[in-house]
Amino acid sequence: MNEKKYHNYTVEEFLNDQDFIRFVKYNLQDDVAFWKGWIEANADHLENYNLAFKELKYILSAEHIQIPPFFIEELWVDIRASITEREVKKIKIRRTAIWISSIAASLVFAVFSAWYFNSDIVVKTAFGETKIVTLDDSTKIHLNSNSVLTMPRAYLWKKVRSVSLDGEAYFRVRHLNVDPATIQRGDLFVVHTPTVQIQVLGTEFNVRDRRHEAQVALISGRVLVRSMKTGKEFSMIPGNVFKNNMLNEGITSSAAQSISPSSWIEGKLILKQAKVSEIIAAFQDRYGYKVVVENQNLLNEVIDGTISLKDENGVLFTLSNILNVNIKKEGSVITLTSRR
Amino acid sequence: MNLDNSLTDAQLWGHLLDGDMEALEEIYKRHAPSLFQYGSRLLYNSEAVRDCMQDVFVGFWSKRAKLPMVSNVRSYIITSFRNSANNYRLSTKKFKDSEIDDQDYFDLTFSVELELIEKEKQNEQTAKLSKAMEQLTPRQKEIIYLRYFEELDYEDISEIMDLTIKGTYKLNARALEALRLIMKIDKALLMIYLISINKNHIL
Repeated sequence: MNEKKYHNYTVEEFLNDQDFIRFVKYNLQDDVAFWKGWIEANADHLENYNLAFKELKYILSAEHIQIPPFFIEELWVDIRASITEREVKKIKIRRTAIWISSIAASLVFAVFSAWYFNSDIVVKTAFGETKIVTLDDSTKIHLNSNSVLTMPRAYLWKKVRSVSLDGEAYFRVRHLNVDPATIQRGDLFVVHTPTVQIQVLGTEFNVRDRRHEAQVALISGRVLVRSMKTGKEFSMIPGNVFKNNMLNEGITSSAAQSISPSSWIEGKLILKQAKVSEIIAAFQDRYGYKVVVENQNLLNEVIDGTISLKDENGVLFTLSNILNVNIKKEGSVITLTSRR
Repeated sequence: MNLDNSLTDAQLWGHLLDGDMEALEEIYKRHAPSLFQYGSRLLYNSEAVRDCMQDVFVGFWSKRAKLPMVSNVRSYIITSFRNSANNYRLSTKKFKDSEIDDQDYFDLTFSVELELIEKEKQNEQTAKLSKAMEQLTPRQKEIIYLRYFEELDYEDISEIMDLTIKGTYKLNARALEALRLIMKIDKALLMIYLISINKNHIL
């Protein structure tokens, strides 16, 4: 046995000593001999030993619970039976079939949810065509011709309502925010276009992003536009128009726009000192033709008034009269030639 | 395979993990009696003790591919039993609230050898003692049982009782303290008792 300094031991130390516990508990011959010798040698340091001995004896006096006769044997038989039963069940094909089909079912569900949560709904418009899309939160999007709107299938499940746009659309976003002081992530609605990101709560605005030039016109509410080109943010109020092109970007007023940004949803172009080149660009975007003007000077002429966009011939007829040109349509190319 | 009695618990455990049913049986035979002791103290319902024991050993067999190698088999068995008992307690908690609160229960009643006390003093003394015993919480009783009957070390106990090692030391110290209070009340009984053990075992 290790030479321990038992004479310095506290009661607690005795009670935590494996050798002491073994001695008190089992009275093994060697232990008894050792402790007998130790007690004789330390006759005047026995106080803690005696207390610890008393305490441990007291602990060990706890009633022994009688095991019912044959309990151990019978329980073993039951355990064996239960093991065998389980193993038989395991081989049963029906079990396996249920198991496999439940796995298959959860796989189908997993694949479905993965698809549901990660896939997008894409709405496209052809030239000359417009569409009105209503989202699950009753936000309405009026999609202009030759545009692509992409939104998550699980639109309402996403933390932030968000859609992507390439082309032009007019948004009427459902307002979800209740308390203007605390804006939740779920209150936000975000439009991504190739060159800007527009963050709103609930507003009406028109977005156009074509040929890497964006125009955001705010009708009501407030929006925050972030330029993807420069990373700058612009806070807009109603009547503001944000524009960017290759060279610069910034806010102007809607009154300064030569073509009213949202007039297209009523099927017309409201013009105020609009250049012919701008009208032609709007026409090309809408109907997909390439318009060639022989006399380049005509492009800088300005026009006031309203042109109907409802059908392509109406626009061409108006232009031909105002500009005094002949119209020649060859496939997808329209040539405007000055009348002599 | 012929199992040698001289195999250690840890060696038997290794055989069990290899799929040896005889090893499971030997482990069962070695540990079932003390597990019954512990289980009967932990759970009031003796049918539940039986079910949980069955659970533990059937589980060892069916999950043997995933079981870890363990050095202290006894401690592992007790831990497994306690988990099973906890599940049982949780499952019954919903249904019965009238009966004994099984959630917080550990039966450990210390007794001095009553034949040593004069007959007329017995009832009075035992009443005093059992009243004092109520001061020990179930968890204090449990740690005393695991420490001095199962002779587990603090690390194993901390695992079984879901405590930190520091917390285990603390709980044991507090249990001994409470025990000392009981013993003071019970001094007379103990004096008689001590005389008897001294006579029997040492000097």
